[in-house]
Amino acid sequence: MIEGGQKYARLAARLLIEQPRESPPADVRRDEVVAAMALAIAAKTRRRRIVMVSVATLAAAASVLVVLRLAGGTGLSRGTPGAGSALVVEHTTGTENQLVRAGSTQPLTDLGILAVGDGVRSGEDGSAVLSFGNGTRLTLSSSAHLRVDDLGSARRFSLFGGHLQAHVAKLGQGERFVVSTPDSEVEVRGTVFRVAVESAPSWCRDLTSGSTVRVSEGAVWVRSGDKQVVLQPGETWATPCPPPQTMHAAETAERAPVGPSGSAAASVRAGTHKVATRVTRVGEPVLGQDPFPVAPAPVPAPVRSGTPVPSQSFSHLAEQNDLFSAAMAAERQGQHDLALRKLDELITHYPSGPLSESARVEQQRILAAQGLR
Amino acid sequence: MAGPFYDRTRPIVARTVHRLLGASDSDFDDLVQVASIELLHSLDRFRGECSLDTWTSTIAANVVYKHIRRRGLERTIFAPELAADDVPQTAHQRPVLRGMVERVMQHLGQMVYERAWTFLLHDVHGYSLDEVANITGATVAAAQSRLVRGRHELHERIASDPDLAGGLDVLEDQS
Repeated sequence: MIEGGQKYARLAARLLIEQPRESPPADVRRDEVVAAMALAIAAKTRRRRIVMVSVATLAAAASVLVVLRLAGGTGLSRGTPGAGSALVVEHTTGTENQLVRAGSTQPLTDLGILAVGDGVRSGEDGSAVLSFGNGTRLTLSSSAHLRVDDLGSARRFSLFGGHLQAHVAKLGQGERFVVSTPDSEVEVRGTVFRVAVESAPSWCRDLTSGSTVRVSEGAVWVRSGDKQVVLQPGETWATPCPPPQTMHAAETAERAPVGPSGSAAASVRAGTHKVATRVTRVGEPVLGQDPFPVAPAPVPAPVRSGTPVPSQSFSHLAEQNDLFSAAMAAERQGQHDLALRKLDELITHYPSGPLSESARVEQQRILAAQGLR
Repeated sequence: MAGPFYDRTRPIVARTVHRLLGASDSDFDDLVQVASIELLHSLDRFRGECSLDTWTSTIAANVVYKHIRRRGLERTIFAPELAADDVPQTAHQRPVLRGMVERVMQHLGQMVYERAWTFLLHDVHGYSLDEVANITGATVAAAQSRLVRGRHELHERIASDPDLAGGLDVLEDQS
C-alpha cells in the first residue's frame, strides 16, 4: 500500500496500470524456439551425466579413504601407538600376487588388511602398494617377498628378495620402522628409501645375495654385521663383496673403488670375510650390483689369488667394468642375447683381464638358462 | 518434451516479456526464446510453492530485467513503446494522457535502476516482494527498501514537475 506521502507515486502507478494492453505478437518462431529448447535439454542431460560420473568417482575415492581411515582406526582399537597402525593392501597390479598367511597362500586382494606374520609375494608381472593410515607407504616391485614381523610401536619387516620402496611418515615418540634383509637391517625415521635383495654379482664368489639401500629423503641407519652407518639423501649402501683371504692387502686397497671422500677404500678391510660397511655418494662407483642404477656403475675387479694382473688390464679396467655392468644389466632386463654379446666382447678384448673368467662363467650360466627355456 | 512444454508456457512468457519490454521491441522474440530455455534450466528449482504460471512469469521477468540492465544506457531503459498508443479516454484527453505516461517513464528512466524496476514490478505489474526479490536477485529486505525509496523518489520527482503533478491531481479528482 502506497502511503499518502507518496501520492504521486501511487497516481503514476495507477496511470501505468490503466494503460490498455496489446496482445503479444504472434508466435512466428515456434519451431526454432522448440529446437533450441531440445538442444538445451540434451546439453543439460549430458551435463548431468558428467556430474553423476564425477560424483560417483569422488564417492568411490572417498569410500577408499574411509576404509583406509577405518583400517587405521582398527589399529588404534588394538591399543597400538599412533594413528593408522593397520597395514592395508592399498593397490596391486598383476595377477600372481600372493598373501602367505599361516602357511597357506591366497591371492592378495586390494584393501585387505595384513597382520603380523603375513607374507606378501609379488608376481613376476606384479606389484603391491601397502599403506598405513598415517601416510606410510611400501611399494613392492615384481618378484619381491616381504614378511610383516611387527606392527606395534616398532614396525618391522623382512625383505627376502626383490625391491621395496618405502615412504615412511614421520614417526612418533618411541616408534620405529625397520626393514631387515638377510644381511642387514635398515632403520628409518621419516624418509623415502629403497631397499633391494638380489643375487650377488658372479665375481663376488663369497656372497650369494646382497642388499642395496638408496635414500631419497631423510636419513637411514643401516646395520650390517657389527657396523652401522647413517645414510643421507642421495647416498647408497650395498653389501660389499668380501675380499678373498689370499688377496694381497695392497692389491685390495688399490682396486677398491675410491670416491671423492676416500671413505670407500678405507672401509674395506682386506683379509677378512667379515662384512664391511661401505657408503657411496651419488656419482661414486658402487661395489655391488646396483638395482637402481642412476648411471652405469663400474664393477670392481674381482680378486684372484696369486694371479698377476697385467698392467694393460688396469689401464682398461673402466672399460671392462662398463662391459660387465652392461652385460649384467641386460641380463637382468631379460635381454640375454645382448648380455651374451657384451660378455663375448669383454672376453675377446680382455682375454686375460680380471673379469674374463667371471664373464665366461656368466656366459655359461646364461646359455644354460637359455637351454632350459 | 520441448514442444508441449513450450506450448504450455509460451503465453505467459510472451505476455510477461511484452509487458515489461514494451510493445514491438525488436528483442521480443529473442527474449522469449531465452526465457523459455531459462525456464527449462530453472525447472529443477520449482517446488510447487506457487503456480507454474507465476513461476514462469517470474523467470521471464528476470530474463527481461537482466537483458535491459545489460543493454543499459545504449537505449532508453524504459522503451517509449511502453507508453500507450491507445489510451481509452476521450479524443480530447488521449494526447494529454499519452504525454503524462511518457513523462512518468522519463522520470523512472532517470531514477536508480533497481528502485525504478522494483517500483514497476511491484506497484505496476503486481509481483509480490518475494517475486521481485527473485527477479532482481536481491533479498526481500533489499527489495522492500528499494520499493520504499523508489516510491519516494518518484513522488519527489513528479512533485517537482508541476505539469505532470497537476495532470495526475486532475485524474485523481475525476476518479
